Amino acid sequence: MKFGDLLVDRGWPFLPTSNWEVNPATGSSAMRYTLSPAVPTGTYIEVLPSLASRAVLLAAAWFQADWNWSSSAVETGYLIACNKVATSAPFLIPLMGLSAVQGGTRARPWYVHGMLGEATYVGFIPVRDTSEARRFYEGTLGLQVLEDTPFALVVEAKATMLRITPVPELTVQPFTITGWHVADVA
Amino acid sequence: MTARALADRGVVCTFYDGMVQDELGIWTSPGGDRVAWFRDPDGNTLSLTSSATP
Repeated sequence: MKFGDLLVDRGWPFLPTSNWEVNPATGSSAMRYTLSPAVPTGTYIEVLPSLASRAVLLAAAWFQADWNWSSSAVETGYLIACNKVATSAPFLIPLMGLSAVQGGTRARPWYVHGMLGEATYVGFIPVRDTSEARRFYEGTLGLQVLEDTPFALVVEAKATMLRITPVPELTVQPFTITGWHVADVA
Repeated sequence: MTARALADRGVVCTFYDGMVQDELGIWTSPGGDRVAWFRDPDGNTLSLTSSATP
């Protein structure tokens, strides 16, 4: 990952001053930030490696006492306390992600979004013949068909789509390729 | 959709050797999540999952 892959939300009141570096305090990737003159105290961000696949960056503002910011974070220019957010207040992570999706109805300069963490997932299922597949996915499973073309049978999959795609040679795998989360399997 | 609804529609869940599954094919994980597997006409394995705590 590099800085160019990330979008900095308009609400951010600071400017990046470095490419990715290793935060000496945590050993994880981080960027140093310089505050804009409008912001009186330090604000730093850091990628949590465990969440890198979601591309959710945690960020912080204002160094509130209850977040227990380390003074060394201020001095070194790294947010080392974000790991405390992840462990002590994990509920903040999806909230930050949601904020990014919604764009924020008010200035919330405490998250960064980028890459695919907030993008809508699209599923793919390879089949030999979409007309046969349609009988099953539409007729048996009850999925609404959005599109049926030579390229794909596209069905609704609650807030996203499932593209059932004809392939010339299908090697069926012995493992699960996709699934649905339901209220009660039984 | 449930494993029973699938069965009513003629879709038999997949049973695996060495796994404890009920008569519908539902396996309960140590954490209490429940999973059933079934196949599409091509043989792709699909799953239904429900959480121990909804």
